[in-house]
Amino acid sequence: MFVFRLFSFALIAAFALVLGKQAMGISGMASTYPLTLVTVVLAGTLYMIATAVAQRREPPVLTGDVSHLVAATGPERLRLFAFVILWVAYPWLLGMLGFIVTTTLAITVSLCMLGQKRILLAFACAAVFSVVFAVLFTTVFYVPVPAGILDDWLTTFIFRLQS
Amino acid sequence: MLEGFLNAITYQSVAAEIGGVIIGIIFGAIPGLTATLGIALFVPVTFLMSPEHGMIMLGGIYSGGIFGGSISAILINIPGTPASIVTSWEGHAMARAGKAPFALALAAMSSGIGGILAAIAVLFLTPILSSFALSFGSPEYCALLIFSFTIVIVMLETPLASNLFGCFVGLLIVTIGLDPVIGTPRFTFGVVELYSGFNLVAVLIGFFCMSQAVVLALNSLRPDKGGEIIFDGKSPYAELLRVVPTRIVTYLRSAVTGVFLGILPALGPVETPFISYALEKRFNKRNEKFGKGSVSGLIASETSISANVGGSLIPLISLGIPGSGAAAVFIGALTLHGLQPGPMLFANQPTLIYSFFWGFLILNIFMLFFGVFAARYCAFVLKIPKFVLATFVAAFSILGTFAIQNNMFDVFVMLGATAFALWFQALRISLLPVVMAVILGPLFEQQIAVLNTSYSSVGEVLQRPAAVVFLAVSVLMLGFRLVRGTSRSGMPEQTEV
Repeated sequence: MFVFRLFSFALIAAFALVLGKQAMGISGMASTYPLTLVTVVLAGTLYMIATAVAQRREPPVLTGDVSHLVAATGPERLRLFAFVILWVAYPWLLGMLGFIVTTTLAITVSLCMLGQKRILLAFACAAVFSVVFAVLFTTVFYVPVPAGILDDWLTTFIFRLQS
Repeated sequence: MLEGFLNAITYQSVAAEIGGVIIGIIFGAIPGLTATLGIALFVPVTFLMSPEHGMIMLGGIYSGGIFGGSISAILINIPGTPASIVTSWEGHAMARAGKAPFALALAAMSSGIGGILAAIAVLFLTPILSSFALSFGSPEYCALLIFSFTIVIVMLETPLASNLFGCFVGLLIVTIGLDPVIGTPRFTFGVVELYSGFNLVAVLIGFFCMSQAVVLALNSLRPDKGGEIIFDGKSPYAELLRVVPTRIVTYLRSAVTGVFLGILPALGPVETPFISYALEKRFNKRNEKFGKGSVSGLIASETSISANVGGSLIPLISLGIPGSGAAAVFIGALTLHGLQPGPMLFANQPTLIYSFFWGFLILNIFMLFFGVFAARYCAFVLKIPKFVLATFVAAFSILGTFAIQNNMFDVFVMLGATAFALWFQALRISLLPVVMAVILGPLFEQQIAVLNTSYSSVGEVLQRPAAVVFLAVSVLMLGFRLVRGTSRSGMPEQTEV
């Protein structure tokens, strides 16, 4: 925990330094506000690092969900990590595979990964959800989600029905 | 005001009121989902509506979400939202004694009455505060914003230094974008999408929704400790009619406490029931056994929570200052509809604001009746597995963020905000100061720029009494907190509702 805190505050300090360097390039009074904030954040970071060093021998105070994460077993952490990766990858996959395919796959994998034993049921729920929302996005919300082959077919079908 | 009332009873408004309350109750009843999460997820949906209907629906989700937390608190002794911890003490004790329907109906009645009294306070206090704030210049605004930051920093249970640090990090983050003084891009690293800064709602969805999806996923991997649903008991209505008229003083005391604490930033629905409950124990003359199914204890808790929700709307609308995470998301929603909360909003759009206020009153009346007669039927949501919630909250967070501006960049901003929220949670730095800074930062910088050009010396600023009062109170509060240290007991660490 000590190393994590140290690394985190160092990262924030680095971020503030990068912004501070850029703020130097801003002309006149306009640089005062950001430079002041950068200075305060840097000073704050140093204080937080000093506090972390002073408290390094004390047992870490873990609250709520962080303690759950620390208490999680290896396979549990792996599944959580996979859940995070899945939903971070989802926006990228949307552009490649389209809304219906990506959403169906993402929801099915997510449900099964976290505990749903019946894969077919998960797949059916995900497919229904995807198609219903694809229809809603096209006809009610007018949200242009990235389209794949299935989305194009669905859109064409809806327009044929409407015309 | 009359036009606002007429707007609030159109069929679209009534649909928004009913829909918002039901969605909110369902969200609140599910342990792990919060009112803030519900509001943030439904902000994109409000684009399909006019601003007043959107605001009414979000108000319904807020009020319903806070009440919904009591359902699981009473039936399975797990507060649906952290605001319902006190309710679980008294309500679940009643349920164990075979009076679950009565506990649910009493909670709904108290929540509704608290909300109605708060809505009346909102209707009459907000215009007064708003017209007072109209005389504010940049010194008063700067001082008021410093006061708001200070009160959040001081009131939170987390260490003062980390609260201050979070606030300044938030202020620094929102300097990314166009400079308000000379209008040139600042800290954008050549990314054109950053010229307008981070999308506020995308950031808030990351902070409150997607991060919660990860937490839900984590909890779904642990063995479920969900308790058994206790739902036995006779029809509650006769006892309800007998009990409620005898507790008018408790209702009034709790409502006043709730509204007052709601007006103060940082004392949100989580802390309010503890204070109201303590007051009730101190002043109650009925010799009730608190903690063992006390009627007055449950009334004090539920009434004050709902009143706090209404109270938090007063500074939000009149000054543009959010008192809690949920109120912060409200500000984001208003901004997205092109409305800047603050005294000018009341001056420029009185019909819209009065429509919202009347809508808030009506939705609380609806919540009272729905809660008393139908809340029990929402108990089915307690059986939804956490992995299902985690999956669909994640999906809705991404799709909702994309729908704001049909922009994939916002989705990546939201994912970044999620990582930031989880990172800060691991560092034990409260997110509320960061959220306040992210929302109020641009206004603060703007007012400082105006102050800088309009006033040449500190002496001139100190001739403005309101500004001096705000600054003096801020310094006093900081000093008090420094002297007192961080020791305080009886209230939980700040969590989101």
